[in-house]
Amino acid sequence: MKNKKILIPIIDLLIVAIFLIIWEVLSQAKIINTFIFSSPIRIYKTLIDLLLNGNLLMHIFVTLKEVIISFALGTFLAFIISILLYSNKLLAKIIDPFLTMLNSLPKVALGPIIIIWAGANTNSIILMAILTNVIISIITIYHGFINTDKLKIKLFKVFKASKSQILYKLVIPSNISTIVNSLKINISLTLIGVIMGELLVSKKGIGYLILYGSQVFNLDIVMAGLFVLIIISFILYKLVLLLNKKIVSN
Amino acid sequence: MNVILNNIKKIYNNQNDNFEAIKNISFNLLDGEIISIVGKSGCGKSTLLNIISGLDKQTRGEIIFDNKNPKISYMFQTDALLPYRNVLDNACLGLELMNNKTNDNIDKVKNMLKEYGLKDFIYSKPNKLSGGMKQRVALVRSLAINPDLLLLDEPFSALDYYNRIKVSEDVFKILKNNKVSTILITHDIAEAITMGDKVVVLSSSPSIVKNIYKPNLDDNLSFIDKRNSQKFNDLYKQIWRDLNEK
Ligand SMILES: Nc1ncnc2c1ncn2[C@@H]1O[C@H](COP(=O)(O)OP(=O)(O)O)[C@@H](O)[C@H]1O
Ligand SMILES: [Mg+2]
Repeated sequence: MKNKKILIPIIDLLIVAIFLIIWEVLSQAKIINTFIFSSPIRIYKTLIDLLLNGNLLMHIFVTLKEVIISFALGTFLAFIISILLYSNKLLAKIIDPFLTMLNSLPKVALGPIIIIWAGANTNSIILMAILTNVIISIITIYHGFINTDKLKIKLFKVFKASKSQILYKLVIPSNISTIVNSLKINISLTLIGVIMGELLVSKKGIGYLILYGSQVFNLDIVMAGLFVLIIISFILYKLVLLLNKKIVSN
Repeated sequence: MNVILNNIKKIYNNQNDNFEAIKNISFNLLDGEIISIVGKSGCGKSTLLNIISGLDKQTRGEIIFDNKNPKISYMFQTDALLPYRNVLDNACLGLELMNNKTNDNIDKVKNMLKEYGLKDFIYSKPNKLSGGMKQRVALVRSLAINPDLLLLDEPFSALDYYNRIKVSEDVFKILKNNKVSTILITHDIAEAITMGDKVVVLSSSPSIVKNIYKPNLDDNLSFIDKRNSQKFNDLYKQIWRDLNEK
């Protein structure tokens, strides 16, 4: 069992290494066109170059900033809206069809409207990301709330608990793990939203870097941007998992 | 506290049909008494407790309490403990919700927990406890507010046979020592007889009171001895017949 735990990441790394080696070998042998596909060594060189001369850290920082703001705002909004919906059954009934509709709507379609509303700037990117993450978070958290153990609600009512006592001492604490779980989906969606936003409007950030690379037909930059993006999303996801574990174990 | 139930009727009004769960139930509970209510599952027992506790409203009839604003506690088949609170904070829940969590009361709750074999678990989370222990915490939670009336809805059903007899006997002693007015609902005839000063037998749904018995067993007997007495056996057969009558 313990061996498997170490073995699996090693196998994963091996797969990545073999993939990179084959890619590089095929490029060197001119079997694949590096102009379209780039190659691991070219990506590496581009990354170093971008780091030294191309503000790579600035782009990473911009994207991270947008992600963190949208993630925090989206989570906060989802939490508050879920509480409002829970506290007001009528409001919940009225809002419910809109939530379902918005949830299935591809948010990227809203991009042009958002740009007109919020301007071609960071605000648009954050708005885009929040629209992407907030709906499903509301649905998840609200459903957790309304599925709170009926018997426990009964218990609270027999003890003559007020509505706010039921909310703060029962409904919210019972749903901590639902809320924390929703963060996992939230972080992935936030990243999607931010990159979509950057592709649409920005002059900075990893999404912009990728777009710029494709516009000047430099696939090395596109691939380097993608690589950074993969690393960022991996680290963010792991951080949320860590947070998840910390909170749930408490 | 004395409680009088007068001709309680309950009809659930749903969108397309009305369902009569209780046809007519009347009985009196005297202060400090334990009343057992037996009936087949689905005959409206939980409905009745919901009405008595004020969570639901009867369609007809009246309930008269001695006190204007009676303090009522409720215990269910499952312990309904909050997993994110330790045993003490769970036991103090009622006091807390009624804004009565004074230091004196907390000490009282601690003493109760110690007395009922939970001394080493006061600051543990409920998941560290056995099923029987959890039910005892739930009982302390119910008693902590010093209730005028305690409602027990099949509180031992989730326990295995051995613990069921054991825990119900413990609970019986505690209720008698504290003179708690109690209504116990069960589908277990033996439990109803061993616990109750009176046993109210309900018919199938829509329920009416078929019979009310007074077991008159010696309170000092252990539950096992009670179960072996002639009176117990006669009453058991009688109630069995009542329940199976058309
Ligand atoms: N809210 C409700 N609406 C309609 N019917 C109900 C409702 N609650 C319970 N019932 C019905 O009333 C009957 C009695 O239920 P209940 O009081 O839970 O029975 P018991 O506790 O004796 O098993 C059942 O047939 C049940 O389906
Ligand atoms: Mg029931």
